[in-house]
Amino acid sequence: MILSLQYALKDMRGALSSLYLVLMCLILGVGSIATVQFASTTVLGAIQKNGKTILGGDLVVRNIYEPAPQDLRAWIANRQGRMIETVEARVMLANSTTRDNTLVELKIVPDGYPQYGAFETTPPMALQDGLKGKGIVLDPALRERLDLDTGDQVRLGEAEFTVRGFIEQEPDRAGGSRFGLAPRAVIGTQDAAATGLLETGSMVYYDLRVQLPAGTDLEQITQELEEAFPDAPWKVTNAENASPQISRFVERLMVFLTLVGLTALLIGGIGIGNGVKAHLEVRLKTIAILKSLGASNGFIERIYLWQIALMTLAGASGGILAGIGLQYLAAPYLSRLLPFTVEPYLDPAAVLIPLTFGFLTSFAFALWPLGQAMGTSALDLFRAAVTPVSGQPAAKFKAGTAIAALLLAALAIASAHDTAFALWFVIGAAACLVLFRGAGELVALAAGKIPAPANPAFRLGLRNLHRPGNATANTLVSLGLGLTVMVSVTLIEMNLRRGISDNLPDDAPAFFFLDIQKDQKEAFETLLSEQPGVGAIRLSPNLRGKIVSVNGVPAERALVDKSESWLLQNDRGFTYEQTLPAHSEITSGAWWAADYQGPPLVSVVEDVERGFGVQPGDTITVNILGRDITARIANTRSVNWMNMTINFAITFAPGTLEAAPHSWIATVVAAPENETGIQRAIGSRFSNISMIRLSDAVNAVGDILGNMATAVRVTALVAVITGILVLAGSLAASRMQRVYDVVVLKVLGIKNRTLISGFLFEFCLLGLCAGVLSMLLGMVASWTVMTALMDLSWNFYPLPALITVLAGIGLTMGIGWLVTGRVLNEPVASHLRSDS
Amino acid sequence: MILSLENISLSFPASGEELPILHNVSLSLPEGKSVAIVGPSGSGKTSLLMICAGLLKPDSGRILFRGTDISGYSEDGLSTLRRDNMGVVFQNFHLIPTMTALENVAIPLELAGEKDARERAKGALDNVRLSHRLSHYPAQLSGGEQQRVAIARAISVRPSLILADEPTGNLDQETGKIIMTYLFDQVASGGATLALITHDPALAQACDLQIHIQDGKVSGA
Repeated sequence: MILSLQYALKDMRGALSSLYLVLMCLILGVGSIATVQFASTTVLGAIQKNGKTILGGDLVVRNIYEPAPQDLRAWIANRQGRMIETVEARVMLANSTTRDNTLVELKIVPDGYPQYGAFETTPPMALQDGLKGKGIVLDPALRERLDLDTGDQVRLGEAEFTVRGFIEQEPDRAGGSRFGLAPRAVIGTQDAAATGLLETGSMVYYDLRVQLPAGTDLEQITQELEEAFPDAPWKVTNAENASPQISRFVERLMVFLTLVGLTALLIGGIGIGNGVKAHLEVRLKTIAILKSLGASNGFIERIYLWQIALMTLAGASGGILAGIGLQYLAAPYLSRLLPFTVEPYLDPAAVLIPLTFGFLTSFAFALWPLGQAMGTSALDLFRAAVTPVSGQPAAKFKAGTAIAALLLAALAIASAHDTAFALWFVIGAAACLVLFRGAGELVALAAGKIPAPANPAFRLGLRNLHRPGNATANTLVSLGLGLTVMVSVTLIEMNLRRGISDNLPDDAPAFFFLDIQKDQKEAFETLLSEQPGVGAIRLSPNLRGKIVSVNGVPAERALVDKSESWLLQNDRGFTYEQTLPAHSEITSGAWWAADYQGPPLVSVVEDVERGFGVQPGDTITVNILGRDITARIANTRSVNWMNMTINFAITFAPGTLEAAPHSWIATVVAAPENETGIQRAIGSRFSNISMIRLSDAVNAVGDILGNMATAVRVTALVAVITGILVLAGSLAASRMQRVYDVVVLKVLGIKNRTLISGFLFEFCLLGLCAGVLSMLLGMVASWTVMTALMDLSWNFYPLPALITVLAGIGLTMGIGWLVTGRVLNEPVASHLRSDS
Repeated sequence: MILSLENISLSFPASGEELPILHNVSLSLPEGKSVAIVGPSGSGKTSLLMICAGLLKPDSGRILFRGTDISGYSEDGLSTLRRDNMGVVFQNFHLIPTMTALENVAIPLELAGEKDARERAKGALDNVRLSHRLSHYPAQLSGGEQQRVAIARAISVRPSLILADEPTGNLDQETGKIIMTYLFDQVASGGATLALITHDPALAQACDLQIHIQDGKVSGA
C-alpha cells in the first residue's frame, strides 16, 4: 500500500470521535442531494423504462379537432404500424339523480385499448366488457364528489351511462404532453356519438396510438414522420420521451431541490472546515515529529490529503446510502402520487453527482486549514502541544481552495437544466456566505469596541462575542444560511399561493366556461344573465392551433429567448377581438379600428415579443385546423394575467378567423353563494359546456404549490439541521476557554446567576443577529426570485419573517446552552489544581 | 567536523519588536564525539539545536554539514539530510500517539525506503530492551519506556549525528542513567556524534566537550 496512505490510516486511529462533525455534515449534505437525485432519476427512469405503457403506444400522434387523416394512417400502415385512436375532451359529468356535475377528462377508447399495460378497475373486469351497453368507468375521486357508486346513472352530454366501476390503474394517464388535473371518465368508442360532445369546433383531442414492429428506431421514425408531413398540425410523441410534461416538471424540481441540498452541503462545508481544523490542531505534534524525522512536506501533505479524502468518502458514502434507503421508502409514495408505478432505480449519475459535490465541498473547505497547519514551523509545533491553526496558507493551498470552489460552482451550474437559475443561486449562496461571515466579524469587532455595560452579565455576554477564538462569525454563517433558505422558500410560497387568492380583483370571474358552440352562444348568455347574483359576462372566440413560423423562419429556430419555449410546447389558444381586451396595455404599435377589414393582423403579448424578438411589422404564421395563416403584428401589449380574465397570447383582428369552425369561452362574475345554482342551471341545459370554478382551480394550484413547497422545505430543514450541528461544533470548540473563564470568575466571586445571564445574553444577541440578517437576506432572495425570475409581484408577509427571527434566537440560545451550559457546573478546585 | 555553525543569529518578533535569541554564534561538532550544550533556561539552547537539525532557519550565518553549506537548502532538502544523517531525541519523547512502539521506530526507516523497516525497527527496540512492548501505544508505556522508544527511533537509521534536547529531563535519575547509557553507546560503538542539551552538570561532565550558551552567545567551550 502507498506509504502516505498507510500513515494516514495509522494516524486516524481513534480519531472518529473528533471527526463525527465532519462525517455528519457530509452525511446530511450529500444525503440530501443524493435523495433528490435518486428520487428524480427513479421517476425519470420509470418513465424511460415503461415508456410504451406510459405513452400508450410506441408513437402517439395527437391531432386537435379532427381524427387522424387517411394519408397519415396509410403512411403508418406502410410501416407495419397497428393503430387505434382514442379521443379526449374536457366535459361535464352529472349525477343523473342529484344533477350535481363536475368537470372530467373524458377518454373514449376503442376495442384493442390499451395496446400496452393493463387497465385495472374495481370491481375487476375486462375494460371492453364494462364499457358495453353505455357503460362508463370513473376516477375514484368522483365516487365522493358526485356521490356515485357502481350501477348509478350519470349524464354525459346528451347520453345516460351506467357506472360499471372505478379506475385503479390507467396505464397511459401520464402519457403525451397533457397531464390532466380533472378526474378521468372512460367510455367506449361505440357510444361517443350519442353524447353529442364531439361537435365540430369543440376542444377534442384525437390520439392515434401506434404499435410498431419490435426493434423499430422510434426517434428515426418520428423524424421521418415529421419530414413526410412538414406542415401537419399534429404533435408526435414517442415512447423514448413518453411523458415530457412530467419529465420537465421533475427535472425542474430536481434542479431547485439539488440547489437547496447544496446549501446544506455548503453549511456542512463550514463544519467540515472547522472539523478538519480541530483534527489538525491535535495533530500538529505528529506533523512536527514527522518533520523532525525527515519526512518531506509533500509526504506529510499527502497523509492529510488522504485523510480528508477518506473522511469524505466515508461521510459521502453514508449520505448516498441514506439517499438509497430513502428512495426505497419514497417509491411507494411516489407511485401513489404519480399515475404510473415507480420502482427504486440506482442511476450511476445519482451516485456520482452527490459524491463529486461532497469531495469538492470537502476540499474547498479543508485545504485552507491544512495549508495553515503545514505553514506552522516545527519549533512552534513542538513548543505548544495544541496550537490554534492560524495565519495564511501557502499559495498552492489558496489556489487549491479556489479551484475546488470554482469546480463546485461549475458542477452546480452544469448539472442543472436551468443554467441561469443555478448561476444566480451560486452567486446568491456565495454572497450570503461572504455577507454572514463579514457581519459576524463586524459583530465581534463591535462587541469589543462598545463601552463595557455596567451590568456584569451584559458585559460578560458582550465580551464573549469578541474574545479570541469566538464563535460569532461561525454561528452567523452556519445558522444564517439555513434560515435564509427557509425564509426565502416560505416567502416565495406565500407570495405564489396568496398572490393568487389575495390579489384576485373584485371583478375576478367565478367560472370559466369552455366549448360554447356558436348556436348556443345567445341562449347561454341569456340563461346565465338570468341567474341570481350574476355580474359581468364576457365571451371570447376560442380556436386552437400552433405557431408555425416567424418572419418565415420555422418557430423552433425563431425562438430567441428559450425561457419562452412554452409557446411551442403545446397547441395555443387564438381569438379575435374588435377592441383591446381588459387588463391589457399597448406597449408598441397601435390597436386596429373596430371595423377593420383587411389583411390579417395580430396583437401579441410581451412573452411572444420577447420569445421571438418580434415587433410591430413582423409576420407570424399560425396553423389553425390544418390551415396556415400568416398575419402581420400590429401591436404588442402587456397583460396582467393575475386578474384571471380571459386573455390570449395572440389575438387576431376581425376578418380572418370568424369563418373557421370554433367554439367560445366565457367568464362570469358571481357571488360565491350563487355558484352552485349557476353550475346546476348551465349544466342541465348545456351538457356539452365545461365549467371550471375559479376557486377549484386556485385550490388545485395551491395544492401543487403546497406539495412542492413541502419538498423544498424538508430539504431546507436539512440545511438548518446541518447549521445546528456546525453551530454546536463551533461552540464546543470554545468550551475549554469558557471553562477557564468561569473558573477564574468564580474565584473572583461572580455569582452563578450572573454567569448564566451572561451566557444567555450572548446567545440571544447572536441569535438575534442571525435571525434578523436571515430575514433580510431571505426577503431579498424571495423578492429576486419573484420579480426577476418569475416576473410576478412580491409582497412582504411578516409572520414567516418574525418566525425566522424567533427561530434564530431560540435555536442559538438552545444550542448554546446545551453545549456550553454545563461548564458552569465544572468543579473549580480540580481545574485550579490541573492548572498549577 | 560533522557540523559547523558560523556567525548564526536568530531573533523572533515579539510585541512589535525583534527579540534576539542567538547572536553571532559559531561552534563546531567534531565527528564521533559527545558534546554537551549547557546554559540557563531561555539562553537559546533549544533554538540552537533546532538550527543544527535544520528545523529552524537562522536570520543569518552559515551551517556546514561535513563541509557542505546547507544554509540554502530547501525544507525538503533539509528533510532528506535529516532523514539520512540525523536522529533527534526530545525531552517530551514526542512519539506519535496513534502508532505503536514498533510503528514509531519504523518511521525513519520507512521514510528512507528501507525494505526491511519493520525487522530493523524490531532490532532497534530489542537493543533498548523493549522487544516485549512492540505493539503497545505510547500511552501504554512508562516515561522511561517512551524515551527508550524515542532513542530506538533516533538510532534505527544509524545516524551520524544524534541531537538530544534534555533527553532525561522528564525521567527519574535511575531511568535517566539507562537512557544516557544507550546514547553514549552510539558514540562509543557506532561512531556517531552526540549533541546533548542538559541541565545536569554530571551528564555534561561525562561528555567529551561542553559548549556554554548565555544570552544567545557562546560563552565558553
